[in-house]
Amino acid sequence: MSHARPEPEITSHKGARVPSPRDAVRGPEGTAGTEPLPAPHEGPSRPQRLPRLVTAIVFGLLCLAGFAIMANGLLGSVLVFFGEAVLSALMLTVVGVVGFWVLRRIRPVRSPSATFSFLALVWGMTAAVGLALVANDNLSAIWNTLGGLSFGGAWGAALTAPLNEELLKVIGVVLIAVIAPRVVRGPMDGFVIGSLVGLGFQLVEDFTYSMNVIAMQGGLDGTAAVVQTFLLRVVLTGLGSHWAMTAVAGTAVGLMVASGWRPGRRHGLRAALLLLTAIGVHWFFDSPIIEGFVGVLLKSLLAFLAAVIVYFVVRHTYRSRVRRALAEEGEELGMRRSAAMSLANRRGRRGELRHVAHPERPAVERRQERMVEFAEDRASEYRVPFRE
Amino acid sequence: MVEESETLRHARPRGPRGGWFPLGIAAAVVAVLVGGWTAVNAALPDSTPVTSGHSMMIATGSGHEAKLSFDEGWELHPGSSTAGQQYRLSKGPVRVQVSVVDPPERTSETELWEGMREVVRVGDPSASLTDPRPVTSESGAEGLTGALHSNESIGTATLFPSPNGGFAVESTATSGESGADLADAEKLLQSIRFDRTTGGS
Repeated sequence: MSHARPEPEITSHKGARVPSPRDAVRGPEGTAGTEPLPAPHEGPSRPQRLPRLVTAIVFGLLCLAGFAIMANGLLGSVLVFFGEAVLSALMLTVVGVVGFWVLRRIRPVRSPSATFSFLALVWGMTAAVGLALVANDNLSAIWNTLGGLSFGGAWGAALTAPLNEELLKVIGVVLIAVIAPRVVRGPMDGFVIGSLVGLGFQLVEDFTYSMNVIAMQGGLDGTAAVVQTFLLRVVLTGLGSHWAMTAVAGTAVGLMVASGWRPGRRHGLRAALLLLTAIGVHWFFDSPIIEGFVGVLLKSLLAFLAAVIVYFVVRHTYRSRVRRALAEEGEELGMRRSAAMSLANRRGRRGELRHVAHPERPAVERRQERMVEFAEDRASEYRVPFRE
Repeated sequence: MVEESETLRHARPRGPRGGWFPLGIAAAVVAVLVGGWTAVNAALPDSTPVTSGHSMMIATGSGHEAKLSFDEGWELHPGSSTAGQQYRLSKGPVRVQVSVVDPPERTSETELWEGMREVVRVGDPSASLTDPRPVTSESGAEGLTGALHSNESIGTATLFPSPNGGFAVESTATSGESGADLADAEKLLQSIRFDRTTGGS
């Protein structure tokens, strides 16, 4: 990527609003004496294409393998308790749709790519779950064999799931960051893509639990078992579960991406702390410390709070940077500073559009979109991911 | 501000770590977590012998605990067992799977058996249970038992509800296609007893 500072696309003298599409006609090739701005979606150079292609293939193969492992483990339960499985799947689909919408929506400025958001969800639902099944089975067996059944029963989950699951989930964010560098450019993107991976994992895990609970209740009244599982794992602990933990871990990947996978000591330490926080919160959740209803609530709340704190820190920094980038762009374009900065959020863009004549709105909207893209490009190039 | 921001820019050292490095790290992590744990688990013994005469507490709840007493030759497979929930045991060709279930309140023995008919089909779609007959353990606990048939094995299924119905111990014992040597398994399952726990109801 060029380190040259982007030049203004046009030299507009409009003061207060998003430049009109008529100005934009003077366009990228436009004004004499100014260097055209590179298109925001630059294709990968040839040396970058191969690792992306290989990563995409690895991503696809691991998703297929994970799905096969998961299906093999669940098929028996689904066939025997088919009605209950359909009920559970329907209830979780509603949660999934709402969660998918909310988690994409919490990204400030713009929602992330729909395609890669979906792929993040798919990774969580297939590769992460399937690979975690294998890893967890084996590591649990190791604890049971080495420490005995009592030790394994008490501490096995805490010493198994956090390590295996957090790493296998966050690998999805790493792979997406390699396949689509523009989708994961920094901590904010890492948080959102991570949360979507976690959501996918959470949905399948909840489904698996509901099937297991039916068997653990003797195969009787499966509908009640499904509803109980839903209440426990979605209503009671859903807010502080996998989406939250992987969001925190994904932020660490975002930090690594922002430093070109070469973090200095400070950023490396922050990334490590975030990953350890995700693992630590998961460990506490699965540990036998503070059990019972209150314990479960407290643990879930802690996971939720960890994600919320990380979110607001990252969001504040990201919004500040985008607004500054927009202010710079606006200055270069001759826009009013407040008008340019207002494009940093969805409502501001809609507000600016209202000032434009109806026939011109689609063109202005496209122009807003480009400005925001450039601003996000610029913002992602500012040094120091967490502080201005 | 523009000048100031210039000093903040140009920070990302784009280099050869753009793609292969994170992919390599991801592949290594998957290999360690999936292949590594599998290899370590495979290197460990699959089973541990259970001391003859040992009484193992397999379930507790609702003021009672369930115990099984072992004679010589039994082995526990800890990798396939979970304390308080599920135990896999073997003695020669005989395989015993013990599961602790928490049924809904006021579930009858017959209803438990009907539920068990479904649960055995989860692991093996060809598995089926015959109609049950009453069975009494050596300690006087009452339960149900019946034959288990599947394409792969022949065996028995047994269930014992805890005295107040808070939980039940369900077990299947198989021994290949012939169903021989099941007497040892039946003896083990007949050894079940439910004791009151301190402070229990």
